[in-house]
Amino acid sequence: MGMLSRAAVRHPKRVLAAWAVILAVAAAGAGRLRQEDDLLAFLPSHDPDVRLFQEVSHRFGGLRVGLIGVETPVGQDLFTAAHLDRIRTATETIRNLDGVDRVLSLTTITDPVVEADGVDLRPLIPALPADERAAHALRDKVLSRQHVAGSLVSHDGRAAVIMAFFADGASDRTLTHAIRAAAEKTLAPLTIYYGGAPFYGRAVYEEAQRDIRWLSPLALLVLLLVVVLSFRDLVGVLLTVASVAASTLVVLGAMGFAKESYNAATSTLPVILFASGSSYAVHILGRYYLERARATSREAILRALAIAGPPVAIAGATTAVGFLSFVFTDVHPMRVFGLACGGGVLVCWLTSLTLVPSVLALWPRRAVTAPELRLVGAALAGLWHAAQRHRVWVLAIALVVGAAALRPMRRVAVRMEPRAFFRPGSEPARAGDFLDERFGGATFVQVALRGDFDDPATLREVDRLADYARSLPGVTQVQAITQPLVLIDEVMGGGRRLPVTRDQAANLFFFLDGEPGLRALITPDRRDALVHVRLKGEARPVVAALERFAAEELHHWPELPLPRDVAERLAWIASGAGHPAPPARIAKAIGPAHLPADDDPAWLERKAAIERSFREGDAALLPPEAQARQLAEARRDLAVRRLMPPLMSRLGIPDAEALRVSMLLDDLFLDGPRGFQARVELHADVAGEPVLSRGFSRSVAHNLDVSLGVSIAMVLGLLYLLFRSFKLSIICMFPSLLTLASIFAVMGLCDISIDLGTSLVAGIATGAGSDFAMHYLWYLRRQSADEVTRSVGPIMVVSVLLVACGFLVLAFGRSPVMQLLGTLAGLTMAISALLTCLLIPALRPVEE
Amino acid sequence: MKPLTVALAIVSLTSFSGRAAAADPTAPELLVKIDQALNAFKDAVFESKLVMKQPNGSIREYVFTTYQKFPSKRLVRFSAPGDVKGMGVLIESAETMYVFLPGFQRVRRMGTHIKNQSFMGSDFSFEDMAEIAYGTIYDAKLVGSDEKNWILELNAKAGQDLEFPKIKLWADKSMYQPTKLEYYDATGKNLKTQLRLDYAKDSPRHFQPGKVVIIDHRRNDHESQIVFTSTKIDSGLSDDIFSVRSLVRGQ
Repeated sequence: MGMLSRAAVRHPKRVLAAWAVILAVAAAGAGRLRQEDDLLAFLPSHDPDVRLFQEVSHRFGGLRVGLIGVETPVGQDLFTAAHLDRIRTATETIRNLDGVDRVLSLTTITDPVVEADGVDLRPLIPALPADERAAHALRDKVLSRQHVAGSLVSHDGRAAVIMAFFADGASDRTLTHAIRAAAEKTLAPLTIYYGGAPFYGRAVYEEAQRDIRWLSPLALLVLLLVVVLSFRDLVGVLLTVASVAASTLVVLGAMGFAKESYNAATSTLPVILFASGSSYAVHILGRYYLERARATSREAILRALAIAGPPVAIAGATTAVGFLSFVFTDVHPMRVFGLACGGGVLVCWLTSLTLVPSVLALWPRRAVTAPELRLVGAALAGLWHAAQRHRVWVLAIALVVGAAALRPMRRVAVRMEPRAFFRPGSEPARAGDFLDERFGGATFVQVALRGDFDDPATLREVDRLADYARSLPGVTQVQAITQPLVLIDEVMGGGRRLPVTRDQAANLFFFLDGEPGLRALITPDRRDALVHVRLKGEARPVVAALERFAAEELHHWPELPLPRDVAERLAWIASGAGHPAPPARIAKAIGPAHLPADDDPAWLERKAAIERSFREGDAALLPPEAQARQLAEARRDLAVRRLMPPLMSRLGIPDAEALRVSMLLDDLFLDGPRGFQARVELHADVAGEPVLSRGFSRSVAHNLDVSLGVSIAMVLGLLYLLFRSFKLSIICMFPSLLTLASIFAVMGLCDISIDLGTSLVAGIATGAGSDFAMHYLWYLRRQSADEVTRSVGPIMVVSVLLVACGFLVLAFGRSPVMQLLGTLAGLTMAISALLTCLLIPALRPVEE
Repeated sequence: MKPLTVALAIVSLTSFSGRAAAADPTAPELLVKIDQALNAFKDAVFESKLVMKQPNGSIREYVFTTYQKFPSKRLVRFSAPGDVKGMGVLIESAETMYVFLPGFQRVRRMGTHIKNQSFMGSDFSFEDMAEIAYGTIYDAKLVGSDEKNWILELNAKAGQDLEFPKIKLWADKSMYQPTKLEYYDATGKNLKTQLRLDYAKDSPRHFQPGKVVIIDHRRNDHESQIVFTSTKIDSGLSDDIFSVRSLVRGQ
């Protein structure tokens, strides 16, 4: 270190030339940087929730759904030729974008019309309505389809949603921009909303980036202002800025050569380095200006480096360690961010030892004694003496605050849901409100099932899970493979029920292959299926309930449903309809299930009609066992039709649930366990965006603990190297740790959660926050307290102002993430410094 | 609905060779020759399989036989995998067919009016499988040629509502068979590419592609293939094969 600084003073031109070369090389490296702005890169790849999400997403070809909502002006209906044409054009345009796996909208839905001998498969909207009457008829038809109303079109017919499924591996940035462009071109003048995780993630990211773009110059301006006011020397100001700018370029160049990307985290690098890396040049310059009053420029440089060099070196090391602690996290971009910031701080320190002395050696400056700094020094001296006089009170209050903070600080939760980062009134917040209000929410939980989905018993268990999910508060919609199967079963003449044999299931699946929505429900090998649960409001209780069901209630080896199973599911349906009833009461209401007797007149009439059909037409070609099966189905139908109306009325189940109830009751009359024993075990895992966020939150919490632990241990070690005293090292860290505990306690009390940005504060504060105390204690070992407070104190205040203001500037951003990060980091630095000024004098006698 | 498209695809991929003209033909003349090559035969039996790559990297195959008789009689029977074995589809017209489901032992009539959706989860859409005669729905423009192929640009005729309003078609100069098709949207963006490969002469006047590959550029260049394992041309198929009775009996 001494050699470097002496060389800088003796051979300033060579040192500057060396820096010029380094910066030229760094610029070349920085030119190679590629931008990576996919927030998915921040997911911890080892977390089980994240891995499950990624596996499921890969298996089903993408779970990320962009929701493009449209709304007509008040008083207008969506079912006009012009509006529907806009939706159709937008759907086709979005469908044709690279990276879109499939699109669902009003204009892609098939509407099977079942007739006696078969079915006509037509688009739900076969043509644009020619006049008002046709528009009304179309509106009535579309809104009567339960699987469409409330899902793709709002119940009042004023809003619609286009669902764009992102292909696995598609870039969120590229695709969300392309979809926006397409939507704005084709859907105007309808009001457009962009919802779903890809749009939310982009909105959060882009708002933060916009903040960074305009706040970086502001941070620089603040830095300039502080340095100008402190030193009154333009060269000093430029040197401070140049040292940080050079360091930033070196780090970006190194990242470019290492093939790392410039991402959401590293984009904050300039602001962070200006805040935390400028103090080294400030310390050296400040000391230089003091020494310059009694020495030549070269001597002043050497003296400044000799006096301020060691504590600046330790300060650089402790701050760097705070950042480098992120190397121990489990998220690659955060490790890179830690390395970049830690490395950047060390380069800043290096510039203060080489670049700054070289410039000062070439262009000597005059001594600076700003009157304001003298006032600051006097104030610090006064504070010192006051703290010493009331040391008992100061220490007692500090200990009480520390003890009181312990409990609330542990209440701080980590939350990584994108919606937690929305600014009220922002575009994603409005989209979230729109989707919640019109379409039952934009949050989807998926239950990933693994089993044999040709097996009728397994299919019934999937349907049981779907019924359970529907009964949960907050759940607005559940989609499972059983719904299209039932529909196609009716189309194929099997009646509206789930298949009763493996062959039937396989036949039905064959006819579903290629349906746009099917890939999101089952894999082609039919070994994996998804149940999609749409919900409004807080997702955590729903996730917890589904996980409990998957772990404790799911039948892993499904069999023919028993009456008690049917009663249980009817209880869920009744509960979902607002009429909870105990399953035992329902079982009693069902009573013993009997098929119509052989001599039942209604059955005899029906049987005769069917047998007639066997003697006429193509049905005569059917083999006897097929004819017997048709008769058995008809007999069950009759039994269900008799049982269902009084039961639904008694349980208060609305007519809209008639299909589900009839399917359940039909199972009561199945003749024996034919084919109803699963051959493959059924497994269920709960996945989806809320679970992904939980994994992300868990990772951030873990990383916070790890980085805090590592930085405390390493900073302690560095301080011990400097002071050779554990007691002093601990005293040195006390103000910053107390500050952290207090800040976290306030967050806990105010229910402010931690996100990825704020999780960085602890590591940064541990390192940078200890610097103030370290500087104080270092000089106190060599000078009297009065000398230290009056000479070093003002420089420390400038340094604190730089760090605190640098971060606080971020609080002026529009993004809640930036606001919280800036406020917390800035306050932590400022409070750490203030506590240092109070606690170090109060603890001084202890040290002595 | 899907078996319909299988049959239509087979038709579209089947051809009779034509004789190369002495001078360069015009685009409309070329399109007529291509359509003739695609549609001129009495009857045929095709054994083929559809190969699809799944998102998890695995491969799924459907094996089927198509019986076809001019002008529009088609019957498709599936023989593998096991879960579709025995299924049959009788195609009466482009919009009506009868299906037989062994699991239900029932014949159902199915009318379909949906073309632009994925065929059996593959990258083939109903529309691009069903292109039998381009001249009825597209106008042609000769945009170039290379050593082996004429290159035509087909644009949808006025009033045609097609998934692909523009196609760029490479037709072999000796066979008049398409060897490559690029499908475009209205903005001129290439959405899919179809390659017809490994043509072989399987009768005195007939060339048959051994493989048809389709690549969907929107789905990260996802790929599906139809591989033809055997063909039998003009073997004198009886009309009885193309009946509901035949469908039910599996003959």
